[in-house]
Amino acid sequence: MSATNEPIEIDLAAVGIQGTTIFVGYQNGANARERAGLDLLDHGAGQVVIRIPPDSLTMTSSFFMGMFERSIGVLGPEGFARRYRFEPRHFDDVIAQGIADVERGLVGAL
Amino acid sequence: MEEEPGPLDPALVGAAYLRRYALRAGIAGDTVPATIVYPRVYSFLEDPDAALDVSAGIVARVLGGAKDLPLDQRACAEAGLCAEALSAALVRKAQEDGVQARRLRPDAGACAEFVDACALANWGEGEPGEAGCVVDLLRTSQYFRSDRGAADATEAVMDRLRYTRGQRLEASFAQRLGGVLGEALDNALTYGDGDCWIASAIRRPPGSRFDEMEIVMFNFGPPLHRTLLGMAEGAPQKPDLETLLARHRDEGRFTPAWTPEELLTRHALQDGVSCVGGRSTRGAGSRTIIGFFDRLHAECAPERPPRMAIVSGRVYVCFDGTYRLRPTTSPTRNRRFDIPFNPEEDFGLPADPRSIRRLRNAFPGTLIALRFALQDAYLQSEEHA
Repeated sequence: MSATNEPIEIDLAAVGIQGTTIFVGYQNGANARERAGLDLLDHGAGQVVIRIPPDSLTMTSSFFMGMFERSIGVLGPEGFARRYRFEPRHFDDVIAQGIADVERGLVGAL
Repeated sequence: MEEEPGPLDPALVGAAYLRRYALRAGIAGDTVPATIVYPRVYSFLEDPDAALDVSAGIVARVLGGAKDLPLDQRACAEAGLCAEALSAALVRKAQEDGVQARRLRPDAGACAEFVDACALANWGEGEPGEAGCVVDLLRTSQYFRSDRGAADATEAVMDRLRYTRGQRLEASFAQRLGGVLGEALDNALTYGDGDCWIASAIRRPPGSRFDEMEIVMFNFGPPLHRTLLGMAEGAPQKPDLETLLARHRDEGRFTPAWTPEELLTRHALQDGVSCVGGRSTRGAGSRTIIGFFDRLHAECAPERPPRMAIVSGRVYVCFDGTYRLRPTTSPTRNRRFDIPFNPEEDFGLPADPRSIRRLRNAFPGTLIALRFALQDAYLQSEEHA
């Protein structure tokens, strides 16, 4: 965390899947989480800006889950929304769905 | 449920690949057809058993030692990309052993143009012409490199679908479509054997004011019910599975048309069900795909409703808008989405046989086929791009 409380920026293209701006797969999301050091950032104080490449075609809910499920669990949905900002807001639907999925906190099926 | 032969190794070539396909599909191969005759309607969306008869014929003839493959398409009046893509995949494998395909093409017309375009694009037969459609067949094993197979394959397909026929997909629709493809391909590569075939086409049906997009993907990994049965002992969702099977068995629900395979396939399609088990965020892939279809259906022009089908082993699941994902009413499902495929919306009952039914033939893996009209809202013209 910088002394000036500047937001920390994470370039999704740099931590995502090398050479593509399509973000798919739970494991790929989990790998991106590790590269971005989100376990540490979840416990920081400042805001984190996730920079989505402007030409990015898609992000699947599985990728979002792999990357942010644990953060939402740690911070709660409101805390997550305060800490993490996504720019530009290409994938708001996927992000909202992902937060809702974690919120449900399901175990088991039928 | 009987034992199933091992996975279909993507590295197998020619007849060896088709032999394994035959074993997994239960194709006896005791009769070698002189000609493979196409049905009048050749599509998994309309007549899956007839489509599987064609693939069984192709495989039986090649395994019988024939060096030519006469495909009689003359009676075919309607062909879907889904069926064309499967036969193209099998013909490609046969060609690896020097087998020559020979087509007796349909009479002139839209079906002939489409079948010609498929043959040209997918197995190099015929001459380029004014087919009026875009069609392609890719195999993900050519893209498969550990972590990026699904991303690369999604990008390759979307590159073909995004800009076509003077228009391109509207950005938010392209995101939705790319998300569904990415999710489906990731599932296929994660839970299959890394070998997934995917084809896409855009064409203008006769008399329609819209182009239609067709997408099909299939793998030759374990069918859905096998994937669930393979769940490890002690997996968090294993007890749910056993309870469900016991309930249908104890209540006498199983019949020749509603077997554990149909039950487990329906179960595999429910939101949150995953062979990985337990985690709150797994098992969202089928919800993404079915939710995408439901929205297409809600937005469609009434004269061209979308269709989707899933074929997995001997189980056929038809999506035509009759049943939709709905928020669960079960307290133990905690705000999940359900689609029991019956009017009672009851997982204790069999599905409506018009939506889930047992096939005469088996598909040795899982196939998803989707067809929908590209209405104006899904497109933007190049001048506005």
